Amino acid sequence: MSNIIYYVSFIILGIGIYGIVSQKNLFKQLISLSIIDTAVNIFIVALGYVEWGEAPIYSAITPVANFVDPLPQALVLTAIVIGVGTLALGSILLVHINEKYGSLDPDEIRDIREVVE
Amino acid sequence: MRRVWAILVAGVFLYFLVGQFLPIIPTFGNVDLFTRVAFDIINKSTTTNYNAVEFKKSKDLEDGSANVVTSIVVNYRSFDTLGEVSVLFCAAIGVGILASMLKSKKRIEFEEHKVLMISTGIVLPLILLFGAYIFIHGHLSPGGGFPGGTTIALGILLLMLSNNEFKVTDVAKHVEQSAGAGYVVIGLMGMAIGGVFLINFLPTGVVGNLFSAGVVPIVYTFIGFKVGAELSNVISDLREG
Amino acid sequence: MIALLIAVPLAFAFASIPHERLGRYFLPFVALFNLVCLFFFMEPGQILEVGRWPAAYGIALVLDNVSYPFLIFVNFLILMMALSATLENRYGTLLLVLTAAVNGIILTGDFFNSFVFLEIISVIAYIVAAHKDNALGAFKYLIFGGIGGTMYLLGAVSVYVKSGTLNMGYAAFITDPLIVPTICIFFLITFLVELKVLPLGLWAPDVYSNGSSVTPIALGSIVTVSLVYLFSRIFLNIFDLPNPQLVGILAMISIILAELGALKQKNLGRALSFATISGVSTVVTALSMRESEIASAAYFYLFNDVISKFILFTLFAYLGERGFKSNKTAGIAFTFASLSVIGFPMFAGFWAKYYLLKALFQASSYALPAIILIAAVIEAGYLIKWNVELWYKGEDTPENTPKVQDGEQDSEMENEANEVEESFIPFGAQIVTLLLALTLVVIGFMPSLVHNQTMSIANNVLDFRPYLDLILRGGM
Repeated sequence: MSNIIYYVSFIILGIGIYGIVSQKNLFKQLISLSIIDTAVNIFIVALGYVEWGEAPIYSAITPVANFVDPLPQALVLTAIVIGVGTLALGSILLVHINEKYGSLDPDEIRDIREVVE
Repeated sequence: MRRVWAILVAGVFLYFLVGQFLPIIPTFGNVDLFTRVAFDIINKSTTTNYNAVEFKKSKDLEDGSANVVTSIVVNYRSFDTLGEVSVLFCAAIGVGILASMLKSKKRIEFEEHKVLMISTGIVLPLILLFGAYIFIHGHLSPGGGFPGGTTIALGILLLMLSNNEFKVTDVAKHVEQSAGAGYVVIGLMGMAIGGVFLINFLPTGVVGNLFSAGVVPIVYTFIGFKVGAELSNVISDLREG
Repeated sequence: MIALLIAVPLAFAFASIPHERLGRYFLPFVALFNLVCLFFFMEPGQILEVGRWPAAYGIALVLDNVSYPFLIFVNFLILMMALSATLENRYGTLLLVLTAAVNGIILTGDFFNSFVFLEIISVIAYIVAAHKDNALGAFKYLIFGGIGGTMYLLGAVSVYVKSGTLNMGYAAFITDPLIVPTICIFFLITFLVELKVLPLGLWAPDVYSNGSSVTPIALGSIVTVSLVYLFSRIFLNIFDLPNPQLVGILAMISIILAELGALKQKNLGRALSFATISGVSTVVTALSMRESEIASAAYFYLFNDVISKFILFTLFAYLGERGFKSNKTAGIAFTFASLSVIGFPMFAGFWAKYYLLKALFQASSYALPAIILIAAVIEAGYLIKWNVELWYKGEDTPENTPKVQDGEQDSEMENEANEVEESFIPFGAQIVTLLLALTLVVIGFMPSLVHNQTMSIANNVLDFRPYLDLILRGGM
């Protein structure tokens, strides 16, 4: 059971996928996408753990270089920023949709579009 | 019916992850760093022979920052950081374009609160100072340009919450543009001085000093300003309608 | 020198912020600069290690015989788009960053770097897709594309865990038959979303039919070409497809469903977007068969498909409602492009389908040729119907049916109406569509110009030795 952190991140990933497919409200789909991003970031950082390793910074208290893997941490830095950019764009698109159709529920939106056409 | 589909899709994907993907990756903590590139990056020996790095003693190594993650993000894989800066840039421009196309410009108003106004006056300079500390010391302690810029943007958000007439002006746009152009210019200067794009052309100094690691603190300062200005622009665009 | 292809557009993008319209004027010059650099100052067979770190530790930009033709094609398309599209607000800045990102994703030799460039392209695509008030389609694309990007990240990280480095050349040394399919399934999901193969490509009709002159061309032509390059690089050169027959069958079903979907559409934009889905699915099916003749025909088909759809979408954006009565030259370009998509003998499309069918028969595969022929018949059905409708639009309106009653007055008003209507399509778009239509005719008579190039691309992409030599020569 030492892989428990992997299982935790997979469960969160599963919750996110369940959210995107089953939820109808568009905002909930956006939040599920953000949950998927978080789960993947947790998983990647966990891939770099070395047992008894320390944070990869040379300082007065780490004279010997017994570090965890720093490369996944650098990858996650970039991935988090990309997730933030996507979330910001999704939010402003939702403001547009809400202004045009009056609601964020795809059934109501489809009714309004059919009335217009 | 949707829920059945959702459970089916999530179940199939989780079965694939746990049944096929999990067996091929090493168990948690059981990583042998010698088989990965990370070993040479930690010991700063990608172009030289192995030599143990000592804090405050090793001088003029190929990369001088004490924070190994910073050395990856800004030195070894600096091209990725340039791309990441472009992602934020495009997202900020996109929010600006889409927010200006909204037909009903409703500004979100906040309630004025005496306690918040007074305490903001005390706390705001400390927040900005802390944010600046994070990105200036990016090569010595955890953090760097991105958390530093975010903290500065949080300070601006606090100012927005406490003071209803505060507007983020065009100064933020100019700061963002010059900081971004500054990063590309440093890359092109590396091309002019060292012959290769984004090469570290300043001396790297002693590991652990403030003035060390060549171009890294300069790049992180640019990134800190750029991220701070960008996130302030995004928050202000989302607020002004 | 190679890095200038990416750094110069990025620098100009940052420089175009002060004034809103600057980006629009910088774009053609930047594309022209890239083309000049590629033709006169660079030769295939180069590698640039960014920052002078060795290839396994840092990022390597590789210019070899496969990426060189793709780069020329993509920069040429960007130049054409810069002259023909109407860009407002700050779309010029975004398209400059798109230029940098598309060049980057073709040049790069590193998995995480290609992920970052893929995300830049995705973020720009979400914004461009929301053009002309299409926020709902853009949001659907955002959800699909966000999942695709996350899967690509998982794939890149598993490459790192198994091979110790993120470099594409070194990653080719993973050959364990249990590990490679698992890693490739992650990449496959991303490409099924981005290359519009049908179960996961349902965002495409909503995004491409917004009637804008920028969106279908930037996303449907330019981004698709660069992603087909990345698909060939990962699945034909470095790794293997996890289950080629299954991918082939999925893409073939996608072709048929897309053609049937296009038949029922009443909106020309949606019909054209379904046609795009079917075209790219054909390319994916052909590429999944790993034969050099079939792959070369697939690249020829992509060339024809991208250029025809460029013309069709541009003319739909400008003239979709008005028909061709007053824009006969634009109408001729539209008809040429539709005939090329169907595969009529005087155009490039005929040679594309001919080479593809010939290569498939040589490889004794009969399912795909049957599907291509059925799809061609359906395409002929709806494209000819749309052509007739657009050429004769406005013939049944009451103003045109009465015989000459006010003689000269009538013809004067008609001349004025003609002059006013001619200005609805900008001069740049007219020139570009005519030029591309002429290209289709020229290639129709001399297919060997393109066919030799695609044969060399296919041979080089299926052989991993030149690529590995180029990267390992940098030393380790």
